[in-house]
Amino acid sequence: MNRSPQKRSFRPNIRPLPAWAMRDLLRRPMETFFLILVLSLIITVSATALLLTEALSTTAQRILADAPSLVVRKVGPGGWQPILAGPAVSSALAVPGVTEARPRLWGVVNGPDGPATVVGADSQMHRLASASAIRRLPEKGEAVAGSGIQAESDGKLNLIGTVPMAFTVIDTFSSQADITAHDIVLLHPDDARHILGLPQGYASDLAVYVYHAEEEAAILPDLSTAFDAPVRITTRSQTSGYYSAAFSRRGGIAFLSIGSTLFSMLLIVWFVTRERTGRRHEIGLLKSLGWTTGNIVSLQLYRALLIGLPAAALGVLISYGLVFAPGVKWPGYLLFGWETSGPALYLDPGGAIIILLELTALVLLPFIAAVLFPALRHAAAAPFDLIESGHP
Amino acid sequence: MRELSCHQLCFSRPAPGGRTVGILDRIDTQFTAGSMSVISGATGAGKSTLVYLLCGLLRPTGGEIRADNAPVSRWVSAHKDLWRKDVGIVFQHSHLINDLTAFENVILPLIVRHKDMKEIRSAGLTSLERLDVGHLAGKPAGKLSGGERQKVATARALCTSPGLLLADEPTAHQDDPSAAHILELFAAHARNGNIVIVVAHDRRVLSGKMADRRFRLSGGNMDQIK
Repeated sequence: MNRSPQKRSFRPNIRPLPAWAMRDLLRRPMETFFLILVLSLIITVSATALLLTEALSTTAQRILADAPSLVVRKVGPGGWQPILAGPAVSSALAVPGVTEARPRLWGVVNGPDGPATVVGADSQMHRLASASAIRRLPEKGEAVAGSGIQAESDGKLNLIGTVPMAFTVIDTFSSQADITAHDIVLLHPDDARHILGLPQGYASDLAVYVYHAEEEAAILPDLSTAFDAPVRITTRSQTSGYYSAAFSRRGGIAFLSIGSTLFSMLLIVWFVTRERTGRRHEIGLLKSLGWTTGNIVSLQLYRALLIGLPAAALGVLISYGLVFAPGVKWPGYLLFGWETSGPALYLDPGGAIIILLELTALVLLPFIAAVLFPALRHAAAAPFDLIESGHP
Repeated sequence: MRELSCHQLCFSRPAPGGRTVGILDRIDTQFTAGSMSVISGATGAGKSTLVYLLCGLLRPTGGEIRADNAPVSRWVSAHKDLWRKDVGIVFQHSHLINDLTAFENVILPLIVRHKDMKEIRSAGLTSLERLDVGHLAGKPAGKLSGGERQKVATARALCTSPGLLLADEPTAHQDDPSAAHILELFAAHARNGNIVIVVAHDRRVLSGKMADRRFRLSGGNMDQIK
């Protein structure tokens, strides 16, 4: 069982205390491996839940950044009614602060697998093509479909609105646009008008843009009285509230997993604390050999970091892959019930930093405290009592 | 360290029934650098307690211990921890960590004293070689015999070249040549300008010529043997 010291692990120019901390961990390799594994699993679950909720919030904000300031819809005794586009645009532009008013063609029809949202490709939609969401806008008889719309094997898409119609699918929206375009069918304006039963000159609603977002509320009263017929106006903040509520509710399901994660964390803390308490004699011995309380705490801190940092890196990496890797489908199924694709989610740097801080507070700090606290308590105790506790 | 002295040093332990049992009673003595002192006494006389007191692991219940005229026994733990960096201890029961190798046990005090693993490695191996146990460097302490454990513990105490070396029954499990070798190492350490205090009831220690001064601990008092 002799092991030559010449063959052992210490390399020159390594600081002794971190090197010793590593050696200390390798004394119990299975225990160290188990701790890293469990901690990384806990971090994976927590980080996945946090990343998903944060990504939903960020993605919703990105969607709303392109949304119109205000949406005007005509209402009548039977509900929504088509709006006469020309006069409506003139009326809206007459309101001070309005910079643009655009009639939109859209409505819900029956698709092959359920409801589909038909959108007429107006002149403004060239932005979609330029943003690489699609290759080109559809001509008459053609359609661009979201990933949630399944065409026939020959590329034909049958839709039933006020009349049944068949289209040739020439393109699908890119995955980046999936969260907004999953069930959308983009048609030539004439086709859209035909299947939705909208007479020439009429639109589904009016998208109104204002110069300053802060002016939305101020413009609202003037805009609501600018039309001949009664209208219902939805502001961007109302839309934002809808998205936030919907995403928060769905993201909350994922967030629930943090409860079980925290329970696991408590088990880890208990395990580590118990293990540290079992090493009272060793701490007493180290103190008798000239180690200070600071040395002992430093050693434990290195130990905690040598376990915690790789576990955190591994956990965050796995969770990032689970949420953001191309082709990952489970978030789409969990959040929206999509079976064929997942939404393209986004994360901004600020959100990522907040998540890292949350993970540090939820998982890393309790773990480090669980390692440090017993060591600090024993290191501050009388060394004689500690040594005697392990008397052979 | 040039001098270690006890002034009216007392120590007593609490006993059942709210009583206290006196172990050491008003000991006055001093140990100077360059000398090796041997303290003998019957089992239970308080020899090990005196070692723990002298290295600051126990606090006296009366009197004080001064090192270079500084009242170390009155210091707070943090200061005593720092002072103990200049103290080497050979415990009566070795107190090795069983799942570390002999080499790793020896370098334990060096980890917090040096900044370079090369130096630590070299000092640890040299110290083991001096005790003739270099060949055991890679063997787990849990698999060493009593005598080997004692030698490794001695190597650990000597490897830092401490100003104060305290040894509690360092030769109890040794054969005659090994005991003589250990005592020679202690004497050499003392001759290098350090304080060496050996506590033993081993006749080989008591009758040996290495010690500069001899004391006998009895009834809580310590008397120098002429």
